[in-house]
Amino acid sequence: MDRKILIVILVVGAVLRLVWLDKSPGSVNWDEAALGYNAYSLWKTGADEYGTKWPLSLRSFDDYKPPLYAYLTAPIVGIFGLNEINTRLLSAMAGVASIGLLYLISAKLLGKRIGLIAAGMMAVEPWAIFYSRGAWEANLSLTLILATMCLILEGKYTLGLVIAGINVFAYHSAKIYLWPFLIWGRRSLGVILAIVLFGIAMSSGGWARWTSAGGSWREAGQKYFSYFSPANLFVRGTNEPNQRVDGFGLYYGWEIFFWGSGIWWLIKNWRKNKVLVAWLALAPLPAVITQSWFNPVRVLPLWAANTMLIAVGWVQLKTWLKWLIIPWAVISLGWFVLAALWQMPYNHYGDWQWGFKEVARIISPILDNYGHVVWETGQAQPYIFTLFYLKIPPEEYQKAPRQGYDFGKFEFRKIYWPDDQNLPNTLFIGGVYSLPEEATLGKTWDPQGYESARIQATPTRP
Amino acid sequence: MWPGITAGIVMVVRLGLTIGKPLGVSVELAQGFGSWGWGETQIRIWGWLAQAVIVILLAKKTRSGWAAVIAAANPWLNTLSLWHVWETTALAAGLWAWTATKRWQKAVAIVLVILALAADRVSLAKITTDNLFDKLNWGYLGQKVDAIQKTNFLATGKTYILPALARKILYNKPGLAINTVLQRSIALLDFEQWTAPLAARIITGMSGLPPKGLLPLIYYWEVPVIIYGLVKFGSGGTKWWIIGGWLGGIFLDKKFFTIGGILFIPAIVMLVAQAVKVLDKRLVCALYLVGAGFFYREMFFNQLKWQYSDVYLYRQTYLWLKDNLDQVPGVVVTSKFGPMEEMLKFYKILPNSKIEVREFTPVPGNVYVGLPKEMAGIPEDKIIKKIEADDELVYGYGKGLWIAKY
Repeated sequence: MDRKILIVILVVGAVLRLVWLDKSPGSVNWDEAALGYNAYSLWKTGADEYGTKWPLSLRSFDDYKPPLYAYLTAPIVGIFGLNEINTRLLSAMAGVASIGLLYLISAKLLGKRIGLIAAGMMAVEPWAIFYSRGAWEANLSLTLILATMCLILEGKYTLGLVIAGINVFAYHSAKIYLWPFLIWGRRSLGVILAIVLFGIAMSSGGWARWTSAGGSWREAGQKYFSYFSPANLFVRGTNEPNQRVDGFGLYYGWEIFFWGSGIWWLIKNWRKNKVLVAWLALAPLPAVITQSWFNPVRVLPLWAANTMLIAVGWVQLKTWLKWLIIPWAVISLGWFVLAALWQMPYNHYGDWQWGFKEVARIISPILDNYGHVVWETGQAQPYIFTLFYLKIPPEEYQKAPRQGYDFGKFEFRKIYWPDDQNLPNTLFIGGVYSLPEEATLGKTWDPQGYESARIQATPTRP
Repeated sequence: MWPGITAGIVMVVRLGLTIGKPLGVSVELAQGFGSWGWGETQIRIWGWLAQAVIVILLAKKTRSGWAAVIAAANPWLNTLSLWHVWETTALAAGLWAWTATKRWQKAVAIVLVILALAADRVSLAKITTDNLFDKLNWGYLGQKVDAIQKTNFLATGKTYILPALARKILYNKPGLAINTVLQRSIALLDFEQWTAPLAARIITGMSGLPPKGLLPLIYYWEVPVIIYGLVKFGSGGTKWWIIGGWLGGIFLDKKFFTIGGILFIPAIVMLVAQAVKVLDKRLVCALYLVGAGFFYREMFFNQLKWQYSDVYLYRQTYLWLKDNLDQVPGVVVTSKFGPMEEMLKFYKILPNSKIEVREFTPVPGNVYVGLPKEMAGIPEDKIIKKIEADDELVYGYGKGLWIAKY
């Protein structure tokens, strides 16, 4: 029976994570584009966008991304094509796997019933759905952390710690989460292997990111508690624009009753639940040393631990209260699904660097006719969207001359039409105030129906 | 003995700073007390006395000197007693009613609560607008329901609308009303607002909190202590204070939580007082002394960092006029921001035939006190004083206040 329920939970979780994966979020953001394109590049050439063979960190925008997500995505985009769905698929699948892993951990620590409830909660919770619907390296890292915990709880220390070591190539926070695991499994061979992996990761770009965290130690204490602030968890969420669904925090408002009850229970029974206590206490650490005040993506394992607490609280609360809350929970799920799938791409398309795909669709068939492309955009890192949506062959890009964001025949700058119209054989992409309306090759409209870009071209000889 | 001494030290230091390092008075306080003829020092000493009463009553009720330390050093109570004196008085009277054993004492205390609240007409005026009832208004909820459904329809490119039954179940006024109450209730438990409202402005701003004017309500290390106290010792005698704080907190807008949630204060003090008993008393004393030290440093020595500049500039204007009025034939003081005339009357520098309070365009032969942009045309060497401040009180008019002998 438990297995059947778990399968239903996994199916529900999979549906909520996979449906309309290309439509919500409305477009890839620059990090997703970078991961997708580097994965594509690795598959095609065995090198990243800069031509570095089999890199241990991705230079990308000089932020030295951990490479694991790109490596695991490489066969997906290589075989099935470079697009939003295939770039995000790994994260979505990791999100489904996390549900199963949380079940195993909760069942081991707190019993099968709580395991099922925790899995059920995770399947439908806003944070878990949201981070599974984007190419978030942190979501892959969460799955690996849960896998590590699962293995260590099963007594398979060496394998668990090797996975924890591999995880440092998935996301920066894992470099901090590694250490408690090493202490936990200190008598194992895995400790040595994990430290070796950590050393490799840090020596290949990881250290640069580590030292640029830039947090204030004076505020670290205040920040620490912000990761337990009910206002953040259940109502407000974060101010990070691409981590928000309007009207929702990380959890549904009604979950606070179970969360509060879970905390109550944990404080009363902390001696028997030291793993969960340590998990909750240590999980905010990667975030408090950085500048941001409340950046949930950095501490996804904390949200998984809270989901377990909520499951504990569910068992603790009186039955009549649960029956009162269940209809409300169903309505809240409906609100969230509509907010995430419909409202977010409509209201907040700008937070996801929308617009490149629509332009790419128009210019793709005519691109070869022009020797020069001038693209006016307010977005940072415009080249990566161009590479991603136009599927520029990596071997071509790696050899192309580059200056700043410009590469090959692509130039990213402001357009001044009175002068620029004299450039021969040039394709222009710009805003409505930069390019004339007459004789456009195409226009794009944003999701709210406003004209967002025009495409113009000049002939070979003006 | 330790707690009593620590509480005494904190209260004496607070009194010394109150008198020795005057902060200026908010418009609310000036309006509330000015008509009685009270000055800045009288208001502040009244506030200090009200806090002292609260400290003593809480210590007496809990039979714990720790309650006295916690209440004396509590940022929320200190802020209230400096800037919301009537509310502090009402809280002190309320606590007296709660702790009193004789019926006549309770009756007198309740009358005092009512009188203090009635005297606080300026803050009470806030209650009539921007409150929970506004957000639960049926018409307002209807507009919200319509707006969400419209967005859903537009988001599908006007191609699909949910079936009527689904829309009715998902988006209805009672549902939104329940959600509003739930969200406002949870939003009270905002550790950023409680412990770091300015540093965490990037987050608190999302809840509509202003960039300035708010101070911490508790020390951040008290967060786990309160939770521990609540779990370990139960709500005990604090239950009704918590319920009262919750009702007041959700009724008023979140930015008024400092006064809306005032009834939380006794609960916090009592819960923390219970919980710290398990800690080393030297550690607790040190924590509160250091905490109060940092808090007073912000309050008294970094006023412009947390408070809007107007309070500071009213006082600086008053100080300059007091010291210099004899040496000038007359002064024109700007009325470009806030109720300057009312504030100068509060500081008892007005009425005075040598002072005019109005907007002005400078002409030679006058002395002006105004915003930087109002001094346009006056040569730099005629500007005799520039009072620096952080905020631009009138958009485009520059920061601080300048004084010119033109």
